[in-house]
Amino acid sequence: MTRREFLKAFVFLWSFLSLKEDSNAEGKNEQLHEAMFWRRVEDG
Amino acid sequence: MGKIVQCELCPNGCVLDVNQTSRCRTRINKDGKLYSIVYGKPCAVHVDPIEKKPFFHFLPGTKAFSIATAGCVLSCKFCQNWQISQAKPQETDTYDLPPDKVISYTKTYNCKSIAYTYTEPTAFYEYMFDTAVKAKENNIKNTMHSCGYINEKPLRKLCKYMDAADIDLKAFTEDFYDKICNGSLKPVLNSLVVLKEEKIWLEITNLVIPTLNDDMKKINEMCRWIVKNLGADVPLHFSRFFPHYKLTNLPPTPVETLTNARKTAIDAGLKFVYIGNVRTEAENTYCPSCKKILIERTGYQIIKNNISNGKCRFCNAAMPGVWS
Ligand SMILES: [Zn+2]
Repeated sequence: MTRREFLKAFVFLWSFLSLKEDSNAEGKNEQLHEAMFWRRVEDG
Repeated sequence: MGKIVQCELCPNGCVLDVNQTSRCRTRINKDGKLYSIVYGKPCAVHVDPIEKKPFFHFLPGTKAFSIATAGCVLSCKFCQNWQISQAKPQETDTYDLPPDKVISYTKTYNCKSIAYTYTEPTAFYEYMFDTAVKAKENNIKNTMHSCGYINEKPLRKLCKYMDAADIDLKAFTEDFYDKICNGSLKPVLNSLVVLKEEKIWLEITNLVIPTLNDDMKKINEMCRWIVKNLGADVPLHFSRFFPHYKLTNLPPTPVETLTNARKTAIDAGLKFVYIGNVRTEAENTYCPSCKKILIERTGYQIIKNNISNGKCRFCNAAMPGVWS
């Protein structure tokens, strides 16, 4: 592995690791985005 | 009007009361409105060879920026990604990756395409859709690996931005879809026909599972259906099963079964039939006209590519696919 390849791999890994969130906290993932393709249903 | 909603995205058609979550686990009724809870929150992000999807006739040798969120519209007992497909989004570690960021990472990592894959992209439809729109604006191709369990209207809307689809045709009986996947076959067949009509590049994957869907009569029936309804040029990938999830009692598919399936498919008229998850020469693409090796592969790696300008280098026959 050349120095350049090593650096590329390092940057690649680093950018992914820094993306990773500590998101196991309950409810944190419940960021709401309005859905497509749904309808209201009459009661009863 | 009350606050009950029905999701019209997939054939499950979940009817949800307030605070109820859909079967795919990614959609929730909040106060009478349906929301996606996985938008911009993938739990899997990788740069993969496009061959891994698997696409064998779509930009061979290029990289695909691949994303998935938790959730799936089916619950197959053999799922290879069950840890995320059958998980609630709240149970997974996620990245914060809105569509804009997906596009910029796709460029950074020099990927020609984005692949919506690993779990079931229908379960993250809105995220996929918005990303696909942006990708097209940026001259990046969109691909998906899907079970095809989606309603026609959302599928056609997506097709305006999708370039290629690899659809899992898991078996050719309603019984299998019912008992093993908790779904049904008919909507999947319909999706295949719609994708063909919309001129999306299409490849099909069939995981061959010992005793459950390895009957050559049924495989023959499936292949004849493909030839008749989708054409003989559609590549078909027979994939080797390994014990997973709820099907650990079954052995891996014998290579002989896969070879028989491939022969059955070729006899039924299909021109490009591959075997996946095992090293054989059925990983290569052969020219149907001169029979020479067009693309030589080992796993996901391209050893040699003899297609130039979409044609066989030896006999000049046009090869179906997207080559540039
Ligand atoms: Zn040829």
